[in-house]
Amino acid sequence: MFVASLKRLRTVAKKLRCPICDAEVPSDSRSLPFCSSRCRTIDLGRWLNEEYTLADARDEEEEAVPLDDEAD
Amino acid sequence: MTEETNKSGNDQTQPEQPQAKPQTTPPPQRKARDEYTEADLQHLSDLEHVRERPSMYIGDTGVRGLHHLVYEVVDNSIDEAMAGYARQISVTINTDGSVTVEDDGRGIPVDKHHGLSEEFGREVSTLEGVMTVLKFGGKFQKGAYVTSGGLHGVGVTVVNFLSEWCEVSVSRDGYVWQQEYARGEPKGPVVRVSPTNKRGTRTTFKPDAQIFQTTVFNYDTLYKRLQELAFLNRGVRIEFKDERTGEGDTFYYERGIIEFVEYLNRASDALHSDVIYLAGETEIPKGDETEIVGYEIAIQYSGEYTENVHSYVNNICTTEGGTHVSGFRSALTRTLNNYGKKENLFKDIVPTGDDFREGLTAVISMRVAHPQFEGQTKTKLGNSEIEGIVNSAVGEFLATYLEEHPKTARAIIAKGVLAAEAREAARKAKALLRERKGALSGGGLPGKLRDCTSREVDKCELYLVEGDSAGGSAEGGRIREYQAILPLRGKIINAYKSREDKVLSNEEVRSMISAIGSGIGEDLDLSKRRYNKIVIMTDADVDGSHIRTLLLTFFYRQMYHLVNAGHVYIAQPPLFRVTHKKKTYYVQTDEEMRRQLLELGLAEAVLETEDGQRIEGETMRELCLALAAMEDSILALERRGISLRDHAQKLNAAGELPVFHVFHGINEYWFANRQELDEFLKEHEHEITAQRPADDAGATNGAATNGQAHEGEVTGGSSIHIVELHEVRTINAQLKELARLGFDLQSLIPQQRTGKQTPRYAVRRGDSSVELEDLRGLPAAIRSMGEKGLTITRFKGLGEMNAEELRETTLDPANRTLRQVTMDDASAADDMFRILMGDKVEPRREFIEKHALEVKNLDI
Repeated sequence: MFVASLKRLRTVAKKLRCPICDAEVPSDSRSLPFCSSRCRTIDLGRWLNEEYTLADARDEEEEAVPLDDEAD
Repeated sequence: MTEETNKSGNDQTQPEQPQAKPQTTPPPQRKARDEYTEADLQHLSDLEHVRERPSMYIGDTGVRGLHHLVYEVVDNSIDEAMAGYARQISVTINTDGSVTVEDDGRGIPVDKHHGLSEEFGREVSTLEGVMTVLKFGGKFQKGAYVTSGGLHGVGVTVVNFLSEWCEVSVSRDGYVWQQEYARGEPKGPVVRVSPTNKRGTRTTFKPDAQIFQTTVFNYDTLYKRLQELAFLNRGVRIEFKDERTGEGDTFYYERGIIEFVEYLNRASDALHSDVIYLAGETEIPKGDETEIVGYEIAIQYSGEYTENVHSYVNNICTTEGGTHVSGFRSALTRTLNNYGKKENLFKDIVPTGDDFREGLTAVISMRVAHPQFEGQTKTKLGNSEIEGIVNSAVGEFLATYLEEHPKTARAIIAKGVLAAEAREAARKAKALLRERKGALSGGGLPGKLRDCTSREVDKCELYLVEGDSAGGSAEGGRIREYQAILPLRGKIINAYKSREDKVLSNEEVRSMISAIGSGIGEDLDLSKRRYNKIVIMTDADVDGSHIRTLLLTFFYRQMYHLVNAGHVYIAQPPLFRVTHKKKTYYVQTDEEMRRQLLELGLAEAVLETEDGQRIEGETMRELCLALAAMEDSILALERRGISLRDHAQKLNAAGELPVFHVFHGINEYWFANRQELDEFLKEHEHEITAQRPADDAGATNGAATNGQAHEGEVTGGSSIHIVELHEVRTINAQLKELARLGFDLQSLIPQQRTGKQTPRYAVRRGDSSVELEDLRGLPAAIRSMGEKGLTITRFKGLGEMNAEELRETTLDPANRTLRQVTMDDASAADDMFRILMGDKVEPRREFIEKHALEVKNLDI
């Protein structure tokens, strides 16, 4: 199920875009999946700074997703 | 190209122009050198001085000095243009290596100059003065040129002195006037050549090979400078031609340095489309009088990381910067900082001046009456008063600009923040690298790592295990020789509101990097990896999926090649342990468990109906599978508030339940398939005014999934609203299967059965039996019969498994299920990570709304 849902998501975003600056990443970038070493370093800094957080999805549903056929 | 020049005849009167007699000065008395006068002495010493020490005047006698000659001449023409007298300048490299510069300005005056004539004791024209007397020219007179480009004012005189030959023709007052020089000395007086209605000055010179190390002009060097001059002096047209090759170009920029900045950014993505431009003049006191300082500045940020600031004073490129540049810089930093603080755009780090200059492209062009040039190459402006002028002008302008253009302002600030972040991140990364190097040499692997004993990389595995208790079990259950365990908790931090967010702690990130050993990013070296398989082992719940997403994203971003080479895996621990008699086995998923129980229960199960039918064997199996297949769909229908009993009343002749529920005005309609729906819609086409969302999948989804939507829409007059009940398709399909087996829809619905003793349905298996009022409960009854004799444990988390269980299910290569993570998996995790990221609510909301269906199913 994990793979299936990921594959479905994959079709949503096709072009490779730099996770930091959102520029299109050339396929021969030395810093894949980033556009540059600089952006990769920024990303590393964010990991080390504990800036990357994932919100608890259970709270999220109430907060942001009105479309749910099980809502009522 | 020199039709007006007649080298051999310039001391003769042109016969066809009887009025054009030689005028003004007589030729210098070359044969009378013995008449040694004071004037001669002065004159010769100027010439000699320049020729003996050319570097004092033009910097050097190499390529740079050589090209400087052209600039000196062009600068005079630019001055004419900037004073409003000339519109066009042409520069030509001739085939013989000489250069011609021509403008359509006023032309250098050719009449007698009284001061000079008196000084020299003979009739000297202004033209001859300009060409042969140092520090003689308009630039030194008040009122002629406020500021001028010619470097140090030595101008064209020096060009003449350092040329093998030089020739000037001036068109003014209705005639062409001409004078020639050889190594600085006039070859004769100024001669009136021919009538003309044009005006302007044309200078041709050939650099003297006795002076210069090279006399070959470089096309690209001149091209660049002439284009630069055209940018700096907007509206001036400069034509450039190289007769040696036929190459050439015309430079003309109506918007001046704005176009210069756009040109500099032509290969980059601009951060904001408009170039920020300011220009003005400030009067400053200078002794008893005032002087005017003019400034013109154009700014545009690009996506680049370098600073690209070009500064000029009176068209001279100040490569070493100076007071104008420092004034500009400090104003820029101050103003952006103030804005960022005021708008609360800085997080932890406040960008420095350097940060704000990343991606900055700017042109600063100053007009200063008396520039002082300092520095090694004399290209640094030293006038201290300029700093404050530029600083306050830029500060004032930019503050207003930022207020009025918040979008641009935010983009610039964001760029600076990113630069600051990069600086900080680079510092941290360096520290990490140092730490790692120390770790490698000192054998200091992370404290939480339970390493394996073998160093045979190809056999070694690292399990990243969620939770400390699971980590403990894994440590006990692992194959010590080849399997290492690193427990990860996924630190919980309290984000805004009361929400709890998951994050990989700094320590965990560092532990992983140092345990894996391959390094990260561009420096990743797969040969240094310490394990062949990195196995992510997390629970099957939301927390587990979050940690898995974080880990996959981290590997994808920072250890791309590790993922790409197929070294990352996901462990798939089972959800159930089943014990039958003394045999124990594991089942991965809910579906699989249900399927197995059904199969087990079906063995020897018999269904008896009230009218005496016995269903068994293969028929029984098919019946149960059909019923099981519609279990979830019936529940889904009921969750919409539609009971099966109600819906059954709308069964059509073909034995189908309606899939489409249509609200039209105050009426409701039901249709079993799209064909019927389309017929209805066609029929009512003229009445239908509103949306018809059932036509594309996305809209259908939106309409069908919103339980409340129809109530609101019913009142909408003749508007139409369609709800599609997807799950009914499955029910219909299975109803066909039931019909084939001899059962109808009513068999699924409890019936009023007064006065009957026998149960409607009974299931018998061995000595157990269950009575049923309808067939919906049949699969569940069979499954529960299948459970007989089994002990089923459902694991809630890895922590519930003991060491042996964990070993048997997840660690032992013989039994475990590992999924190799593909690049697609990893980049999909990255996509999802971007959506779910805690600190960016807006894009997440947008995404979720756009792809509600996908996200709903994101139960990874």
